[in-house]
Amino acid sequence: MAQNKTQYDFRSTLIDKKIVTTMNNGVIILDSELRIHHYNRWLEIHTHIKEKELLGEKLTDIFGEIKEKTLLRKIRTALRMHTPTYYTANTSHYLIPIKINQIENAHFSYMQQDVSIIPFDEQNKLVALILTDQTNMANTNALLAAYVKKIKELNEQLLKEKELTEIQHKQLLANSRSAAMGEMISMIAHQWRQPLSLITTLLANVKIKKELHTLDEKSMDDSFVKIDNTVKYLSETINDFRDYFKPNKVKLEVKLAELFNKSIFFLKDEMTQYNISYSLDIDDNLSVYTYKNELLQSIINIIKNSIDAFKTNDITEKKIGVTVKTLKHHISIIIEDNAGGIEHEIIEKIFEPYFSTKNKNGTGLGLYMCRVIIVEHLQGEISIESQNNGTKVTINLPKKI
Amino acid sequence: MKYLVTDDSKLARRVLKKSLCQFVDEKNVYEACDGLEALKMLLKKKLGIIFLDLTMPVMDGYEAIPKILDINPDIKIVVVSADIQEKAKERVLALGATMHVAKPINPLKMKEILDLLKL
Amino acid sequence: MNNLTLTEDEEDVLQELMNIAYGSATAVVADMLEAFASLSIPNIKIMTVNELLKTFHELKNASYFFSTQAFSGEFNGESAFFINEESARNLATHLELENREDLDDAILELTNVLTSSLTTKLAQEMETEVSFSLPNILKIPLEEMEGVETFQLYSRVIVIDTNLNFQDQKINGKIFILTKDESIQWLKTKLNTILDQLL
Repeated sequence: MAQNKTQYDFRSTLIDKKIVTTMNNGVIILDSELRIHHYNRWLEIHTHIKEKELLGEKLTDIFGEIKEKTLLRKIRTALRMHTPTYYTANTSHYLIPIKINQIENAHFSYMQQDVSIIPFDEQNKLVALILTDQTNMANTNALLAAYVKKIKELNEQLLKEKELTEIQHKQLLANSRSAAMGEMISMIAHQWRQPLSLITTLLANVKIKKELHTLDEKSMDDSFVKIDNTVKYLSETINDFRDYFKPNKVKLEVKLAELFNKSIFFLKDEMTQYNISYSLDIDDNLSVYTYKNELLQSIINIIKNSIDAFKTNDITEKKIGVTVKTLKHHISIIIEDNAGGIEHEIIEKIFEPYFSTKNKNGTGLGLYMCRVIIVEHLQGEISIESQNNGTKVTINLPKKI
Repeated sequence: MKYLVTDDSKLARRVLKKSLCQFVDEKNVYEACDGLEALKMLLKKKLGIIFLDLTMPVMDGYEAIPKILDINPDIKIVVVSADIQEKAKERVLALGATMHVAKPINPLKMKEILDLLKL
Repeated sequence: MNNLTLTEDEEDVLQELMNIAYGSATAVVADMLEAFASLSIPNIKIMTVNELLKTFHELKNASYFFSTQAFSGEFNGESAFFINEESARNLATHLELENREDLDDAILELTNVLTSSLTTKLAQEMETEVSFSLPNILKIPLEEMEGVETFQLYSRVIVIDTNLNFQDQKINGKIFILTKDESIQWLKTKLNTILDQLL
């Protein structure tokens, strides 16, 4: 029988009464005009509103937040289909605003609810709204989502840092090449000064003799030979520098004795100038299968550091000694000087890029690049010790890479 | 009176035919599997009532209705369809169908329809 | 159990039942949306989960929303509903929704209505009852579809796929009803019973 009474008395049915009163869910009975026919105890407690104040009232008048259109549509559809429709906690969060005061793991200020809208009286167009507290589930989900977000952020950060490091590394490499180039040019200039001066002198002599009409063929030929030799020497210097400063693409069997002699060749002027004596203890036949120029550059770099150290510290008998020993699979190169050693605080940072104790002329890339070359390209090890007023650099290289 | 049952589903035709044949003679009931076949049948036989499905390949119910009425304006078209939307009903009636009934038609319902059509 | 296939007759019956169920469901959705849908003919196949996933591969490029709802009873399984972003937006416009969360809710509602009415009607025709779990929604960024848990549970599935088409409102979706091995057996038995009754 069609009845549109708003007073539908549920408390008279014993079992229903007991269950609906004690269940851990909210139960609201609504008609298709959203008027409240029942509001169970759970809801009374959670919303602090008594059922008797609500009977016959429109749900959306009591809770203004609720979207009337949506609720009406869901109710109508449920009645039409004779199966439930829903609000899910994930998407709609809640239907009835119930404030919660959770302290730990609280992502929400309001209880998160799943709501089932169940048609149970087609004739009277009545539906039951069953509310289930899903706050715990929602909190877990929120926590999970937060962690996932954090992980994504960290990953992105790592990627960025990796990129940055790569860029920095490339920059350093480029810088060191420029620096090496710069040093090379100054070394060439240094080497060329004297020969160029010699050529100038020889030419001047020839010119003067000519003007004085004292120029004879023999002295002219003599001068020409000397000039020729000097020019050859200049040319060789250029070739040497060019060849030895190019990075190698190929590995070669490198005779170490020869390598050291070559490096000294580049530095001998300075060593003579500062009166630095040099000794090399090596088996003449010792060789290593590696990248020649990279090794040469590193050695020159290290010896140059010793030379520079002597410039600032006044030592009476300046010595640089090189010892090369052979081990089972490795070669050990020890370069020692007595230039005064390195302070403890400095030695820790010595392999860092941009670290320099030299004044403005040094770029400070030296030992950082040395280590990069020796460790990464030549697959060896390098270490530095300060002892007995001197510095000792040890390089271990595999006999073959 | 001759009858035509039009549906692309063999089963649906059998079901409808079974209901129909409780009230009429089987030899007066013909079958077609789409709108086009229905038209062909119409040109061959003098049909009084057509039961027509809506969702059919080649030519669907909506397309068939006006064409059927072109050939025989007096014919009675009973649309039997799974499509029970109000708008579907309105559409077919506007096109000239006599009635729109939801599938499936049980014998009781069939009696009602036949009675209605006789009036 | 591995050779579960539908005979032609069984397929015919299921097809007809599905037609009717789908017509009923569409009417409800049309009512809910106050629009008119053009009905498609449901496509019925039995396949393995792997084959199903391949089918879904194509859909994943076009879809943005993917919602599911499980149903239980003698006839049990899960429905899956795919709708692309454009259709979803049109749905939102049509329903005059204000914000994104309302749209999620609308899609869940659509899923629920389709699943409920389809399955309930089918169940009714087969003289059984079903009950439903809450619908779920997943927003898929393209690549993640393969990991979707839903389908791993069902080794062999009956796949009933239909298109939802509201032309004027430009809302289209694809709905799949999926059932697993034991249900398929039950279904075959039921279909044969119905066949006998009908003929």
